[in-house]
Amino acid sequence: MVNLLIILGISILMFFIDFRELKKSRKELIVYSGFLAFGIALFAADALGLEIPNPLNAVIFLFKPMTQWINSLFK
Amino acid sequence: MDRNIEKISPQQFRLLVLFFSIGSSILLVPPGLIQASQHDGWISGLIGVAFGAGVMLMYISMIKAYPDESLFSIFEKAYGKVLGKAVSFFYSFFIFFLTCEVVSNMGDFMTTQIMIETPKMYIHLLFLVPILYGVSKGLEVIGRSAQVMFPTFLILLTFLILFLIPEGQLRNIEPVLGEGIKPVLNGSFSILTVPYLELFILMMIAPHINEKKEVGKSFFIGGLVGGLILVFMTFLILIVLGYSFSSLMQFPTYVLAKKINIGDFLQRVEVVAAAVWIISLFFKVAICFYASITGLSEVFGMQNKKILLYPVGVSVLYFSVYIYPNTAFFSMFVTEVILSYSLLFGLVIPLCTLMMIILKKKKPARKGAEGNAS
Repeated sequence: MVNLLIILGISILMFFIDFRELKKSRKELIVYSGFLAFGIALFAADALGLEIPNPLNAVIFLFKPMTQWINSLFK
Repeated sequence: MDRNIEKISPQQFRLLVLFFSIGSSILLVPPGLIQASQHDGWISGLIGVAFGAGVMLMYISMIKAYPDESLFSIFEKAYGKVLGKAVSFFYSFFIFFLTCEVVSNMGDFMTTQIMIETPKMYIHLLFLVPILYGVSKGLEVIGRSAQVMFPTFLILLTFLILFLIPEGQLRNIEPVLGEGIKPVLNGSFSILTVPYLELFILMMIAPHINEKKEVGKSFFIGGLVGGLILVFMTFLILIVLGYSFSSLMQFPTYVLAKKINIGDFLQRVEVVAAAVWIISLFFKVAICFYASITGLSEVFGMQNKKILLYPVGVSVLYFSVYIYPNTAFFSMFVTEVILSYSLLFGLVIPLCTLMMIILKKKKPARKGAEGNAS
């Protein structure tokens, strides 16, 4: 919970600092807010005790058989 | 906008390549080499560096084909608009996760060896704040700070090597090639994957170099020297600690530094030696971070890339703590997964791109205007 509050506080501050640059272009504002919301959502889910799937599990699922095959060539 | 203003010299680029290839690899490569090929870890290291030199030559020829374009615009030139964007999208994920992985390596080292009771997230936060600041000031500042830090790095590394050589015994590496050649070849993959197949990230900063002729030379020399330092560290670990002891350690390089003993008076200076990889890790994370925000802003078509710094930093902070939930997961990932993952991104796709570039450059010369669709 403490982590979430710290991140939320800094994010609001940074958003106001970056807002001067952001208001020049609508697209940048959308991308920026999207990334920031994603980051804060991660910390919020962590604070609420929700399980976030590890993105590396997808990498493991896709690439593990291939690596095992390469390694078996050198055994 | 500001990409044309930022310029670094070939010397600075060479140091950045050197720091990048030493980076986290000085902690990760020796255990990988030693576990795979036992006493012959240094031989497989040398073979891996030779393969890595080939990989670097491939990257250099890509840079030479389009000296003013970054990696992602090379993809768009080679594959066309839509497919190029898709490839760039996956690459920005690779670079983003690599940033998190490198920060996580640093945090794992600090929380298991030096600051045992500090939460990992706060160590990462302290490490990321100067990196965010450095990246926000631009590539020139990173390049110049590499030049400033290099003497310190060199002195500490020389100190580490010089005082460890007397502790070594050459009989620790016998028998040479006792297990045959196959495990030695298998071990060479670990040095090939960790620094060399990640070096394509430096193609994101290659267009900023002011003397285009020197790019290939600096890239090659930096990568080669970095790789040889890694092999030499592995050799030192083998002759000082021996195979059976060092294969049990998570960070044999740090255990090696504990062996420094100057006249039974100056001992336990390993934290000073740890500065070697803290410095190189700093530059590796800074380059990865720079590359990931450049990549993301090119994928989303943004003019001002530095605006993405803070939002991406928050995600990096989160994922750097949770991407490797525990050491067992990490060692499984490094030994069983990472090889084909980085072979795809670091070798197969760049090789296809290089062939596409060569085909596209040949076609207009032979048949005139035909075949230049994109």
